[in-house]
Amino acid sequence: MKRIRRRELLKQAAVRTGAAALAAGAVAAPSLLFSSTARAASSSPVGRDATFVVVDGTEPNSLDPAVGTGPFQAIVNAMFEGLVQWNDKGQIQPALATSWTSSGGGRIWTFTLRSGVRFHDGTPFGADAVKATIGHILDRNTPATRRGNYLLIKDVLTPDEHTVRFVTDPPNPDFPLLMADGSAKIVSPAALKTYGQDFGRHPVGTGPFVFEEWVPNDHVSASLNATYWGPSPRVRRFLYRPIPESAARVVVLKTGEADVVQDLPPTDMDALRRESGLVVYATPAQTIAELEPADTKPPLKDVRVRRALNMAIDKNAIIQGIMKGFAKPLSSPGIPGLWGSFDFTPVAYDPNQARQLLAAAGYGGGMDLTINITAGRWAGDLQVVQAVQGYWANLGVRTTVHQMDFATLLAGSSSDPDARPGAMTSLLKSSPYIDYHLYRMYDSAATNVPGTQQRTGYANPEVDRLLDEERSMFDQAKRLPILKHAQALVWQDQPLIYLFQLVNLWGARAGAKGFVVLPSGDFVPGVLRRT
Amino acid sequence: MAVAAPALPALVSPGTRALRQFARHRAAVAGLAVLVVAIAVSAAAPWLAPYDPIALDVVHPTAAPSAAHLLGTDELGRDILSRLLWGGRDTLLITVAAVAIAFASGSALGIVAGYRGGTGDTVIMRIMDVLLAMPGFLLAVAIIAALGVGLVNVIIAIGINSIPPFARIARGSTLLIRQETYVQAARALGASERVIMARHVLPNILSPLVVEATLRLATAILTASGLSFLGLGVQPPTAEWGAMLSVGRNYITSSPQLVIIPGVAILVVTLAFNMVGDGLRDALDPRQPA
Amino acid sequence: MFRHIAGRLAWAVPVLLGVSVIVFGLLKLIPGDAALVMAGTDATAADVQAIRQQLGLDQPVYVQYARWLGRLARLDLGRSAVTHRPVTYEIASRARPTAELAAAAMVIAVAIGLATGLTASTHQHTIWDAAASLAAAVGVSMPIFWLGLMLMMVFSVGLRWLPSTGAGTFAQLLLPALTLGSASTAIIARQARSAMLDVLQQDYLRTARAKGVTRWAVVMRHAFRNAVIPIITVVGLQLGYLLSGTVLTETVFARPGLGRLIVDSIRSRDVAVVQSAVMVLSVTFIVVNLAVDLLYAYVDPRIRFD
Repeated sequence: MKRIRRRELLKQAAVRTGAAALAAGAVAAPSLLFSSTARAASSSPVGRDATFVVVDGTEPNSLDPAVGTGPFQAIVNAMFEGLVQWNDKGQIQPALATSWTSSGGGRIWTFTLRSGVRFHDGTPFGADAVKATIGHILDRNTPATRRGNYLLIKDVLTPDEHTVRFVTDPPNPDFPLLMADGSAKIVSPAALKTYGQDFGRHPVGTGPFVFEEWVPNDHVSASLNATYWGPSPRVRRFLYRPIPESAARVVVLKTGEADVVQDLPPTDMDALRRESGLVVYATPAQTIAELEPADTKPPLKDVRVRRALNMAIDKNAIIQGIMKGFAKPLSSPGIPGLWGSFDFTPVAYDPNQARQLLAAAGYGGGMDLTINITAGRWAGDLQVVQAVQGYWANLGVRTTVHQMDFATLLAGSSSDPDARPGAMTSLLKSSPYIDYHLYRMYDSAATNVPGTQQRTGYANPEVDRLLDEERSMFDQAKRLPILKHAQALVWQDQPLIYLFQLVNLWGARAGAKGFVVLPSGDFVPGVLRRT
Repeated sequence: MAVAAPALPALVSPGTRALRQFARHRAAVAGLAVLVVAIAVSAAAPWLAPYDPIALDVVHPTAAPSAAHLLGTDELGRDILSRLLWGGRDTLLITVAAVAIAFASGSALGIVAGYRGGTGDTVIMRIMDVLLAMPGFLLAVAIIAALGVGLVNVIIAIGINSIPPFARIARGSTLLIRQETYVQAARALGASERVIMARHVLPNILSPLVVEATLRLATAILTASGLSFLGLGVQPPTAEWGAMLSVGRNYITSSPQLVIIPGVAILVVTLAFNMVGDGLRDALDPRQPA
Repeated sequence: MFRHIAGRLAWAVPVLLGVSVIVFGLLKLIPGDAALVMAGTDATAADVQAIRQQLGLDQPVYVQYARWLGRLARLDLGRSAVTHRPVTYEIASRARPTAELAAAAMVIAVAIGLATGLTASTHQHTIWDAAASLAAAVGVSMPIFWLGLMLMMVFSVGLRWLPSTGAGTFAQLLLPALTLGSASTAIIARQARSAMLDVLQQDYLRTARAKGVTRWAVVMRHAFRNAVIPIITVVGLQLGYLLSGTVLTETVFARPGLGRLIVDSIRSRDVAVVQSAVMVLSVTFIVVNLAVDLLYAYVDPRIRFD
């Protein structure tokens, strides 16, 4: 029986994400974050008394953690907690579970749960709640966008009220990291039963804030949980506002109408840095921007077409011109910065070769493509997609950009790739660890799971075999060559249109304190304060 | 200004009188001058525009005005001047086409209703009442919701939206001149109804319709750009003024010129239409107060 | 008087029915299947068919219309395809910001418009009159969404006097109301000026002035009273403009109102919400115009409608 102690696991996690983040210069952010700033707080024209306001660009599709994954994590994280959680140093730490061990050759993971915790509806938190949450994620009727990653869970056992035991196949060393994911947050089993598929409109968790109301396209609010088990925030309410226009987000940061604004437009960063009364940050992100096609049918079924489309985009020009350098070119199918992600030869901008490739694939006369997009997911997204449209026009590709709301977008991207109209979807992917990313994006067992966001239908048997092999290995050093091989194969296939890796651009009112923005883009409330 | 031959001889023809009247209206003349220039440069956009309006220069976005780009470049490095010229084409095309549709169908319905009377009149005018009972811009939004976005659908939406005032004016004026001697005479001479309506009624009720058309052009520009602003009109990358403004809105804090320039263009042309409309009303329709 | 009121009410009924036909018919044309939107991603064909039956979408169009009308009369507007909440709830929760906005814009338009119009009419051929005319011309020609953005840049971002978004407080109402009311202010000012000029030139006012009645008294007691009817007409018609203008204004200032609800629901193809919200705004417009018509009869007993 092999046991992994918590400390070891923490160390692993720290090595993987933390080291990369450190290397990229992330250290500055958290240390700055908690130091008091000398700048004067701007006088807010709005009497918001003790409400902490976080703004991002996307209206949630759901507040069910399993379903609602996107740039509105701030509000989900304020109401829900997982068994474990990430901290700003790239480590996982206890949350609703106090300790965890592995046994049975890594097939069994046992979590000891915190006692005395209650959900907002009064239901006591215990092993049955964890079991219900996993059951909810695996339920085919739940449009759980990340279900593919949970398919390894074969059983959830509840030996007693405060112990939960997961049986996985294959055995997976990253399992505790999966439990730290935003989609693995524990939901109230009673509320699940009461609201069924409407749970996403009536979220009930254990977090420091209790759901209050959701006014579509305006705000989601939550009030202080008086019986919270942890240290209590020093604000009375938490409010998330989706503001899709990036300039309008800058305005509310400047006017003091928001405490924290995420996804600031790159074009405003220089001016905002000089502004008094607020602090802005550019921190490395584990988030990549890409266009996800249906890889199962023509024209995108042909690897030459995908390669040509990737090659025709001058990504460096886009990064300099539109993103103002606040993005990094991508030469990996993984996420640079994560342990086990490898870089390969970049697909260089070459319109002539792209034209030849397309002609060889039988599309010399051009073709019609559609890009579906929810504008405002990240600042500049619509402009980048328009630039792509312009670059593809050079190949004779006629691209229609179709704007829609996020729920409709996801309904499209998660439908059967063979049945849906041939549109690509502009999406972001943020993954906490490499296996999580590679498996959900490229393993055919996960790329065509109903309801999951990235339903490209991509399948390469060799990639499947390699991923199956590495994800059950507990010797990290031995995983690396296999991970590299798998990624090399994927990089040859170019299953997606890779744009770039984002940088988290966010700002806070000088008086807003007690929170962390993780490299995943996740917002973690600690002891929130506003002064 | 095309004004029909008068019913009675006069020392100075009403056309000339109207022209003189209009020429005295300084604002109207200025408006007309602006319009002539706007229409001319928009029509000549393919020759005047220094660049392709949708040609990207991603590396040089939001550049300040320079010799190469007189108004600078937009968020994707496109030449703003070229987009403004081409955008004027689309904006004016939408506006003029929509008002032309409304003018033609509204006048026809109004004349038929007014001349024939009876059930047809009641039905037509009740339908117009219903259309007028819906707040104008809202009706356009609802029509777009049904038809989908795009240039042609914007023309249709604004066209339908603008029919009722033309029908009302045409009907009212037709009722007034139905009993005039020349109409009665034509009827006595055995002219068919269609001929009477086309040859005798229409030319004599043209003045108020022309005035209404000019003022409607101003409203139509605002409606079209409003729809584009909401993302319900012309879609990017097409350089329509409202669409330019809608995209530029994302850059208002860093590059406000992307909002100011198309906004001023819309304002100036709308103002010009309104000025010309007011001037025409004074000149052609002395009964109505200024 | 009674006959007049009865006549106006009788006129309103077919118009309301006509509007309902247009709203229903137009939104029937919306591409995409409401049942598909409601069923969600992984629905089977049978699920969609069941929802279609449940929504009555398998019935002939006229039956659907009749049912919809029946539900409309009972204020049972169905459920939002997006939030799954009753449409009545969605609309009721958004009605207040829109009502506040339209009312505030109307107050601003009437107050500033009348003041400007009266000043211009009593100072004809002066610089004030010319300035007012110019301002009015610009006011009616200004795209309101553009004006809103400019005001926001000046008063929220530049001077930091007023918040840029949201609804609920007086400060949050001010910029949107100014924006929305601008064009109506201009139109009311013009109408007030010309109506006043008409009246001021009439003999009895010359007589009154000749008899030594003070200037202010002449304007207010005699002239304004007689100019008020054409002004009321314009004010009533402006309401339609203000109601549809909320669509743009609420989008600029991120106000959670009915106008923005309509735009958002069009984007998410939430037909039930679009239908009902458009219907509510149209009915409001019709009812207010009816009230204005009746107000005429009260203000000026000479007026009788056919």
